[in-house]
Amino acid sequence: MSTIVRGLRTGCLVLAITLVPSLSSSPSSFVGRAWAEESESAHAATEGAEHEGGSHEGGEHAEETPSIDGKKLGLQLFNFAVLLVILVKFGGGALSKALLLRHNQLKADLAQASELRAAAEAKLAKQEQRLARLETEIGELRQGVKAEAEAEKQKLIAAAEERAKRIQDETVFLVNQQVREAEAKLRRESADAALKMAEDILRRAVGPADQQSFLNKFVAGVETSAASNGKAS
Amino acid sequence: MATSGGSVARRYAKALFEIGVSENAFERFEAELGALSQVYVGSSELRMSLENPVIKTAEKQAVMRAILPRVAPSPSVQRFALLLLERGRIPLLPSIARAYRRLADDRAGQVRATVSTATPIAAADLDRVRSALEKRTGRKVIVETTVDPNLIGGIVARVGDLVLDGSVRAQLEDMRQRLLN
Repeated sequence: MSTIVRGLRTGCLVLAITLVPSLSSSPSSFVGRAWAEESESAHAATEGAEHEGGSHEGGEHAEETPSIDGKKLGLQLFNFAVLLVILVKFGGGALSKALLLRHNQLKADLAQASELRAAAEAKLAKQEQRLARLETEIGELRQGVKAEAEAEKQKLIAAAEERAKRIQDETVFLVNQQVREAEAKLRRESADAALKMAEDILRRAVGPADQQSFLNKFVAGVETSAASNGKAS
Repeated sequence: MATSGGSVARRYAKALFEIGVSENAFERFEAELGALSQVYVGSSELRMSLENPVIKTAEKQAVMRAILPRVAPSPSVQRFALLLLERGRIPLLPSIARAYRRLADDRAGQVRATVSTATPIAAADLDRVRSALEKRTGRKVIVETTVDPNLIGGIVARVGDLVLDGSVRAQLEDMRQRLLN
C-alpha cells in the first residue's frame, strides 16, 4: 500500500514539474500559451456581444465551429506521452509489486473463505445428520433415564432395608441389654434383701456358744492349713 | 507418691535400725521411735508447727529438743529425729516407725497379728488363736485385738499380708456373690 502511495506521489511530482512550466506565461510554454489565447478570444467574444447586443441579433461568433490547432494538439500529446513514460519508469515497479501483493492477498482470502465454507458445510451436514438421529437419541436418552431411575430406586430400597435392619438389630440389642440390666438389678436387690434378712436373723441368733464354735472352727482351719503347709514344705 | 514415700521411709528406718543393732539397742529404739510417732500423730498442733514451712527450722528444732528427752532419751534417736526435721522428712515419721518395727520383728523372729472379733475374745481363746497362728507362720506372733460388731460372729486375723477370715460377715458376702452369679 505504501508502495502505491509512494508511486502516486512520484507521479504527481513529475506531473507537476511537467505541467507547471507549460501553464506559465513564458514563450516556451505551448500549453500555457494556447490556454491564454483561447481565454483571450473567449473574452473578446463576450465583450463584442455586450457592445452589439442592442441593434444586432448578433449570433455570428456563437455560430462559428471551433477549430483544432494540430500543432498545439501534437505538443499536448507529446507532453502526455512524456508524462506516461515518467510514470511507468518510476512508479511501474512499485505498482506491479503492490498489485502482486494485492493479488496474493485476494488469493489467500479466497482460499480461507473456501475453507470456511467447507467447514460450514461439514458442520451443516453433521447437524442435519444429528437432526435425523434426534428421535433415536431421544429414545435412547429416555431408556437411559428410565434405567437409572430404576437402579436408583433399587439402591434406595436396599439402603432403607439395611437401615431398618440395623435399627431393628440395635433395638433388639438395647432391649436385651435392658433386660439383662433389669435381671442383674433384680438379682442384686434380691440378694441384698436376702442377706439383710439373714444378717438380722444371725445378729439375733448368734450367741456365745456359736461364737465359740466359730472360733474353734477357725483355729482348727488355721492349724490344718499350717499342717498342710508343713507337709508341703 | 505413697510408694516413693514408703521407699524413703524404709531407707531411713533401715539406717536407724542398723545403728540400733550396732549399739545393741534396736528394741529400745523401736519403743522410743514408736512413742515419738504416737506423740506426732496424736498432736495436731505439733504436726502443724513442725510441717509449717513458714516456721524456721531452728524454731522447729527447739520444739523437738523440748519434746525428745521425755519421749526418746537415746541420743541416736534424738539425732535421727532432728535429722528428719532438718531434711523436711518429719511427715514420714509414722511410716518410718512402722518400717522400723517390721525390721525389728524380722530380727527378733516375730510377727505382729491383728485379731478382730464381733465380741471381746477371752484370753484363753486368744492364746489358742496365737498358737495356731504361730504354727501357721512358723514365727512368734504378737497379737493385737480389736472388736468389730460388723463381723456378726467369727474371727478375722491379719498377719502381715496374710488375711484369715472366719467371720460370719465373710460367709454372708460369699453367699451374696454366689446369689449374684
